[in-house]
Amino acid sequence: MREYDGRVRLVVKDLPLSFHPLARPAAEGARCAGAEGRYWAYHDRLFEEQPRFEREQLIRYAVDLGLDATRFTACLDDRRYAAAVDADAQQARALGITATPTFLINGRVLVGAHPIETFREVIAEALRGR
Amino acid sequence: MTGLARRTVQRRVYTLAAALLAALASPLDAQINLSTDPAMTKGPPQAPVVIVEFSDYQ
Repeated sequence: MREYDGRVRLVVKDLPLSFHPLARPAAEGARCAGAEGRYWAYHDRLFEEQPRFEREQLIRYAVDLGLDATRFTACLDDRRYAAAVDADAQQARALGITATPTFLINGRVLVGAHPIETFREVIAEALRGR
Repeated sequence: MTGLARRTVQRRVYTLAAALLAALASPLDAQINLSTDPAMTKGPPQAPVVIVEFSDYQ
């Protein structure tokens, strides 16, 4: 992102897959952290801790970031962001997206983890307006 | 069916076809509602390149 300095916008959408039962609480927890302004830090922590996403662990990661344990726990237990995660997953289905990660780069679809060079190429093409 | 009814149906079919074509012609990401949680975006809203990532933590 940094190397593109203002020319690229990244938008993350949640698509917790049904065969990853802990992915959903993790996604909801990340949004709870986002409500406290720490989405990206929490998101990065989740990728480091994968797949240790039990409730107590999700709460501990939030506390480690300095978030209020009571508030975060209430958000997680109330499933405050369940509908928002559902909406993203629904959107993925409508677009025929079933695998993660799936990237849409100015509409060009890239499925799966690709080497950084592939992203650079597709972004360069998008910047050239193709 | 009267001529008027037939023309009305025809016009509806054309409108539908035009809407379908417009949807198909627009790039995929234009159909994506980007008014997502602002916490989950990075980079300026007017950036020429938009990467939408559907991700799963597990």
